Amino acid sequence: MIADDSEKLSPLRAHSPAAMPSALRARLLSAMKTASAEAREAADMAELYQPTPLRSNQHQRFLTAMQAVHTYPRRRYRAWWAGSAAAVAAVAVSLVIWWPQPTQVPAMGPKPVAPRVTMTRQVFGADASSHCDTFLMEGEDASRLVIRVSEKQPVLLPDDVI
Amino acid sequence: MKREPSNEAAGCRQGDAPDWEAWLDAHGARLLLYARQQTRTEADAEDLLQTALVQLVRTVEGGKFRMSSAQWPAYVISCIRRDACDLYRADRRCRASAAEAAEVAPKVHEDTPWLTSAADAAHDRLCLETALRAMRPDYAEVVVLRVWQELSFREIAEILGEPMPTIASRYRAAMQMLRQQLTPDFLDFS
Repeated sequence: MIADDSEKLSPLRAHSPAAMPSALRARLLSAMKTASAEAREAADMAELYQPTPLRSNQHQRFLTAMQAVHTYPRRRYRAWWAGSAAAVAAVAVSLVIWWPQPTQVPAMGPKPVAPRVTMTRQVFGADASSHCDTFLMEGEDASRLVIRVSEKQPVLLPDDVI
Repeated sequence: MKREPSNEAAGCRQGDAPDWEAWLDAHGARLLLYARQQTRTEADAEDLLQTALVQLVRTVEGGKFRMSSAQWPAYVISCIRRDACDLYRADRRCRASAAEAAEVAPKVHEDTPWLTSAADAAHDRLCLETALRAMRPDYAEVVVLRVWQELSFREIAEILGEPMPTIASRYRAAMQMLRQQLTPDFLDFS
């Protein structure tokens, strides 16, 4: 911080600022007086004509409106978050429902022998398959087995064989 | 030249209608010096001073200025500085080329004296003015505010929006430049 240097600056302050030209002084004074008169007039008008005070119901109504304006953004954001959450939930449910099921991969290894072929071998012997073309299950409850044998008529087996 | 101890002498008591004529006589020349230092032409300086004074009057008469009348000059200086910044910012936008800017720059109050002095000190005054005009504007501004507006470093820092140590260092550097540029028998403020 620089100490008081008034005495040291006296050589500089011996040269005072140039005086204001009289025309400029008159112009500035005129402008200031005009501004002063305008400001006083405005102050007088403001003092004379006070705004009408609010009635009690108006006060309450405006207060409610102001509070509503104050809380409006929060309500809006709350609705926005609720809508977003509902949309995300709907998309998730849709994905779970319509997600494509994985295709069944066939098991590896030897193909199991069909039970009816095994049964047929038990009925007709080990070489029966060479004489049989097809094996059909008939009836609504598949209670009858129809064996089509080549060059022969279909053979109807009794129920107790099956 | 010492600043008046109170503005009551200029008719500026709180609560009374200010005597603007007396106040202008007391502070007008110093404020005009600052306006000249902030502008490039005499017309700009006069316009800025008028605008700032009108703003001061409106503020004071409208009851918006709650500070004492001793702070009115600082308020006017702030207005002049702000308006000068706005003026030359708009001026730069309006001017099409840098060549035009260079053309305007030399017309810096060439024929308007900033200071006045006794007849036998006319040469010293001329040297001082030349040194001030050649100095960096931010340095010259601090010198003008400190020496002729007689503001404290705190007030200058508030007006310029700079830290007080910056203002003090600018002031020291400016004084060092003046000592180097002016003749030794003129300045003995070391």
